[in-house]
Amino acid sequence: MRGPHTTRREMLKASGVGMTAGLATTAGCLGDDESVAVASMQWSEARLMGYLGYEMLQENTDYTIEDEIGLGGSAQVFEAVRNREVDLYHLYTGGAWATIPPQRDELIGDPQELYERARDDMEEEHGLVYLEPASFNNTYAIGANPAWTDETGIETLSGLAEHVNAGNTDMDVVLGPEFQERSDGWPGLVDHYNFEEAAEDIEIQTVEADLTYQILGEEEADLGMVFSTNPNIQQFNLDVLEDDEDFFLPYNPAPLVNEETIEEFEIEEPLNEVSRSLTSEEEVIELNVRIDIEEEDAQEVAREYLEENGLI
Amino acid sequence: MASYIEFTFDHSNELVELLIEHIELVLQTLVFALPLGILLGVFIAYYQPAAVTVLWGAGVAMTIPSLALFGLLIPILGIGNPPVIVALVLYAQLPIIRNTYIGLTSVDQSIIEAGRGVGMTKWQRLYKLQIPIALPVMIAGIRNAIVILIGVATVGAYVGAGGLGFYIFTGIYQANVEMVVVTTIVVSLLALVFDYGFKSIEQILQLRNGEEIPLTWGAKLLTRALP
Repeated sequence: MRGPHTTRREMLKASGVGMTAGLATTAGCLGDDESVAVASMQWSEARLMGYLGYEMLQENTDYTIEDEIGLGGSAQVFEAVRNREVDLYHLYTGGAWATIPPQRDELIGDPQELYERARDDMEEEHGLVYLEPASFNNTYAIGANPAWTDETGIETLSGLAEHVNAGNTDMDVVLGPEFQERSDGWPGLVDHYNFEEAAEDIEIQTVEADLTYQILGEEEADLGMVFSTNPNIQQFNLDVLEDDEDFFLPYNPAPLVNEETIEEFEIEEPLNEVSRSLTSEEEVIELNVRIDIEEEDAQEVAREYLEENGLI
Repeated sequence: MASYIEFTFDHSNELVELLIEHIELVLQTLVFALPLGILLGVFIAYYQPAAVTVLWGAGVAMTIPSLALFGLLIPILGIGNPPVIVALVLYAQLPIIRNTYIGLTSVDQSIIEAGRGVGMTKWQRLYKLQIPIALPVMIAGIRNAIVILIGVATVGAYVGAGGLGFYIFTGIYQANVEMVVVTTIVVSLLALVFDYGFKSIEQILQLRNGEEIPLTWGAKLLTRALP
């Protein structure tokens, strides 16, 4: 009795070893696919999001995680993920919806609905998996120099519309070139808040998007395009007009991953956990201030955040 | 190819408008850059100890990234054309100063001695002998500066200055290849036209100095037009 039993166990054991060896060989054959390459766009908050994902996977999985953070512009990183040169990066829902083919014009104010529709687009058009988004929102906003808001008392975009429609078109506005043309930018804004006609008399200057904060801070312009979690808003003490009629698309970052990567590696849950923890804009602004203004290393800031939140 | 031609026709009005703004920006810059550069060049040709410092300063000015320079100038000059003109004047200095200096200092000493011999004052020697002899070298520097200016002026769009940069910079953001390519070609053509124009002016000045040179087509036209 004992003989055959041992033999069977040994056989099972042997086949088990064999299977494992076989799997290892297959995995080995895929070369680079043994590791997960985390990428990001080049600006600070995008790099921060990249390192949050990178550090999280590094600590919570046994895979080799590659650092491809700061890879390039939005279009380049997207292409890299699509072609599986890298495995994932954080893409903002508003950007996914409005700037990546099929480039939708429709404005969706509800973050959840926007995410779901962008997710379906990514899946159907590109075969990519869009994981859970963080709920903090880094969207476009209209910033104002405090001297101007003190003088006019305007705090909201509908207040601005009223002010402009009453004939007060004597103000200087600085916008980035993209924002000036896009339907989810200035042309859509004046249309949504109904001051299209009066807006034609407003002086608009096109400048580099990163310079608007300094220009507003130096009171060289009254209003300008800003990104809501940019640390320069705090640095230059700018006011931000409230988007009280929900015109701007929500921009929630979410990991965009290649489908094959999701099938091969169990990385979904750790990445979603990071997204779930990022709920407060104030907190993200603080992290951005540390990176951009206090010049701390993005990777260090990401690690500390994850440690403080008990994620690693 | 068809899409480039289509873009050019569809946007010809805006392109011409931006081209005119661009030319204005460059001409406004030259109004300051030429006298400043030539004066500094003449100054260091006469006062050699300052030469190294001035050329070093002009060289450093040329290496400051334009976006950084605009950042520094916004608090003083605001946005629009003024900070861009200041930045462009700085960028144009090195070729103008250096060529003026080299042109003047490499004039044969015996000619200057001869001028002294016939009783010319220092200024007469400069004006009647040295500058005419140094002219081709000086103008080569100016032409060099203008080509740089026309290119760098496109960066002015970053701080709201006018000119063709607006289309290059909008085109990059919108990933509009036609917009970037067509506008870049217009900028390059503008640089060639300015370069050719200054070559013609140089020839006219050489003619007036009594030199005999084969004339370009542009210079021939100019000699007919001028009294």
